[in-house]
Amino acid sequence: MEVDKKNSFINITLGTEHFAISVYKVLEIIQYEELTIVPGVSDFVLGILNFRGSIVPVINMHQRFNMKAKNNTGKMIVVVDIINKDKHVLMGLLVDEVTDVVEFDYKSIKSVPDLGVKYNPEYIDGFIENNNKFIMVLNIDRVLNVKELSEITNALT
Amino acid sequence: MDEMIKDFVTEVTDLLHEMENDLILLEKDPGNTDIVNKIFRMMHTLKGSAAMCGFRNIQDITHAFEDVYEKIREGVIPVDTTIIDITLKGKDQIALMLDNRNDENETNRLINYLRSEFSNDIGHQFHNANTDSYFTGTDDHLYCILFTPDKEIFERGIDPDKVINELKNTGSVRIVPHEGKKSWNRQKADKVCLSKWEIYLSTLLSKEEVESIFLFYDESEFTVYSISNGNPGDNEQLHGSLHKLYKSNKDWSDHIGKMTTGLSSNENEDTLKKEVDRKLLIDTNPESSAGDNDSTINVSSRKLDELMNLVSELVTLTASLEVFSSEIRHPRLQNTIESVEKLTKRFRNNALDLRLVPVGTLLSRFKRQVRDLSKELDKNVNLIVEGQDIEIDKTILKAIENPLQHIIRNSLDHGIEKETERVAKGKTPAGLLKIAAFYSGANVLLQVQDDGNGINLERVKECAIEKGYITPDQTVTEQELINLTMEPGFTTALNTTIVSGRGVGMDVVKKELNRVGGSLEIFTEKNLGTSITMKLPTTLTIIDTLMVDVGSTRILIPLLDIEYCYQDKSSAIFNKDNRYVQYKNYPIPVVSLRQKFRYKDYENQEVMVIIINKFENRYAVVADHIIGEYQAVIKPLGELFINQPYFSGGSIMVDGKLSLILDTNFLFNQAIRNKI
Repeated sequence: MEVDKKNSFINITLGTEHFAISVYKVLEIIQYEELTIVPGVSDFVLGILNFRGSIVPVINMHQRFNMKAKNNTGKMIVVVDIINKDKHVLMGLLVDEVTDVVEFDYKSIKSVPDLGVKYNPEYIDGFIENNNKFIMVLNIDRVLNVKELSEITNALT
Repeated sequence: MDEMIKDFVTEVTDLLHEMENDLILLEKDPGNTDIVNKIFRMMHTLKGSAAMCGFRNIQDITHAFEDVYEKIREGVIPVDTTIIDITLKGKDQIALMLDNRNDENETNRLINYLRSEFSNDIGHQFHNANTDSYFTGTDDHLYCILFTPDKEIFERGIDPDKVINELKNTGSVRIVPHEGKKSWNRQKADKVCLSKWEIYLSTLLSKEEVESIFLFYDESEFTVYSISNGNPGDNEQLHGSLHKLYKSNKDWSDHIGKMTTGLSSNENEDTLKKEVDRKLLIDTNPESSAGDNDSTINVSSRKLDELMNLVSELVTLTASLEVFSSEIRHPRLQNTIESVEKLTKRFRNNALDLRLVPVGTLLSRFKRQVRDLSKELDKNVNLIVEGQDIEIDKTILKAIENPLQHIIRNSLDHGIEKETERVAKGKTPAGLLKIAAFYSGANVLLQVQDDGNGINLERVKECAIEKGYITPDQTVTEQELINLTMEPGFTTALNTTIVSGRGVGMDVVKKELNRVGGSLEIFTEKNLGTSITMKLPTTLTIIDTLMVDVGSTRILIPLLDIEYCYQDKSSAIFNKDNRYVQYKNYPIPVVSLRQKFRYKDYENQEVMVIIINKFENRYAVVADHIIGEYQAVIKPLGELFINQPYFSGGSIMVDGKLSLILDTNFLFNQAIRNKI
C-alpha cells in the first residue's frame, strides 16, 4: 500500500509515552552511535554527530520532557529538519524506540484538552488514538526552539 | 530588470567608484592632466551609455561635466577644491539617479550651476544638449555594425578580436556577441569561427573611417549602418526601437531594418534567429588595452558556500582514502590516491581563492570618507593606503568594514589634531593617517596608524576608576589601560561629537573581529600617535591545527596560536599554590583543560604543556597528550552552541568522527583577566 506522505507520522516512544512526528520533518533514523561530547554544555545536549558532513547536535528527549531515561539499550536517533527564524536547522533526537509509521487524517487529530496534559501545550499539536494508544503529535519546531534550547544548553557557563 | 539596464547600473557604479578615487587623487595633484583626461573620458563614456539606456538625466549632467572638464583640459579653468567638490556632488547625484532616488530640483540646480559658472558661451553648446542628437550632441555618430566573419577566418590568419578591440579604441562601444553553441575560446582553439557580432559604436569617425577598420574583411562579412543620421527628430523613435531590440532577443536585423533605410536583408538571418547564448559585453573604457579579456562574473556567495562545503567533504574523504590505502599497501592504489590527493589540494586552494577579494576594494571606499570627514572637522589629513592588493575572504572583509570605519573615525576625530595645534607641538601641519594591509604568516594584518594625540591614558584611568573597573590605588600598566578601552560600555567621551562617540566603542570593534576569528592590538604613545592592528585570518574555512586529547575529548588547537610545547609532570604544574608556569623566565598563567571540561584531575602523570601566544600575550594550556598535526575543515557548531565558550567550531575526522576546535580567544581573555 502506498503511504500518503501528507498524513504519515513516525511513531516514537519515550518511556511509556507515544509521540508522533510528521515524516516531513524527518530526514533519517539512525541507530544510536557514540557521540562526540561537547564539554562545558548541559548534558541535555548529549553530544554532536556527523550527519552527511554537517555537525548536528543530539538532544536528550527524556530530559526535554523531564522524564527518567531508561537504560541505553536499543536507542534511536531521529534526525529532524526544523525551521528556526526562517532557517533550516538539523537536530538529532535521542528516543527509546521508533515503532512504526502511522498514517491518519489531519482532521482526526484531536485538540489537547486544557487539563490533564503534563506537557507544555505549545509543544503538542494534538493527539490521536491508534490501536487504543494515545499518540501525542509533536510540534517539533516548538519543542526544539533554538533560543529556548540554547538557554538551557549554556546554563552551565 | 532589463538585462541591459542591469549591466548599465553595474558598469556605472564601478565607473563612479573609480571616478571618486581619481577625484581625490586629483585634489592632491591638481596639475595632473592624465587624471583630468581620464575623468573627461569617464564622463563621456557615462554619457554615451546613459543615452543608450534611456537615462536622460545622467546624460544631461555628464554632458555638463564633460564641458567643464573640456575647459579644464584646455587650461581655461584651473582645478580647485570647488571643482572637486562639485564633481563629487555630481557623482553622488548620478549614483542616486541610477535608481531614481535623486531630487530632480537638486539635479537641475547642479546642471544650471555648471552651465552658468563654467561656460562662457552659454546657450550654444548646451542648447544642443537639450535638443540633443541621439548620442552625445553634435559630433558623435552612432553606428550599428553587423559583423559576421567567414567560418574560415582563422585560416586567413585574421583574428576577429583585433578588429573588435580596435573599435573599442575609437569610441564608446557596446558589443553583443552571438557565439552560437560553441564558446568563443573553443572556436578559437578549433580554428572555426561560428560567432557573429552586433556592435553599437558611438564615435567621431565617419562611416567610411569605420569601414576602413574592417580592411582585412570582405564586404560580405560586415555591414555598417549609420543609425543617427543627423536627424534629431527621429531620435525618440530610434531610441525606442533600439531599446526594444535589446529587450527582446528577436530577429535583430529586422529591427535595424525598421530603423534605417535602404537596408539589405541579412543573409544569415536564419542562423541568427537560432537560440543564442546572448551575452551583453560592455566595454566602456576606450583605454582598455587590446586583448584584455580578463572579465569577471558575479556569483552569489550562497553558491560559493555550497562549493566550499563540497570541497570540504572531498578533503575529508580524500584523507580517509589515504588512511585506508596505507592499510592495504597496494602500490597502484597508493599512486592513484596520491594523485587524487594532489588534485584535491589544488581544487581546495582554487575554491578558497574564489572567496578572496583584494582589501583595496574596501580601503578605497575610505578615501572619500577621510577626505569629507577631515574637511568637516577642519583638519588637514594625508591618507596613505598600502597593500591594497592583499587578498582576504570576502566574509571577513565585510565583517571588518564597520570596525575599520570606527577606527578611522576615532583617529580623525580624537587622534589627529587641528593644524594650529600640530604646528604648536612642532609637528607637520598635515596629519598622517596610514592604512596598511600586509600578510603575516597565514594572517592578514590591517594596520591603522595616525600621528595624532594618542589615547589619553590618564583620562582612561580616571574613567576606569570612576566606573569601578579599577581601584584608585591599583597599579595598572599602560597595556592594561588600553585593554580597558575594549571593555563593553567603556567610554571616555565627555560629550559625543557628530563624528564618533555614538555609543559604539572599541568593545564592539573587538567583538566583531573575534566573530571572524580576528583580534585587535592597540599601541599608543602620548603626542606621537596611535597604531591599531587588526589580525585577521585569510580564510574562515580551513586551518592547520594540533590535535590533542583531553580526557576522552579530542581537541584541535589552531597551530598559528601555538608557540611552544613541552612535556612535564602534572604534579610539577598543579601541585603548588599558584597557577603559573615558567616560560623563557617569565611566569605565564596556565589553564588545565581537564578542569575546564570537568574531567577528573590529573594524578601524577606526564602531561603536555602547550604555550599559546595571542598577540604577544602568552598563556599555557595543559592537555593529556599530543596526537599530531591536522588540517581541519572548520564546520560551525550551530546556533545551539552560540554561547558556549570553549570551542569555535568542529571538524570531521578521517574516520567520520567529530572533534572540536579550541577557541583560544576566550581562554586568553579568561587567562588575562582573571589570572585564572
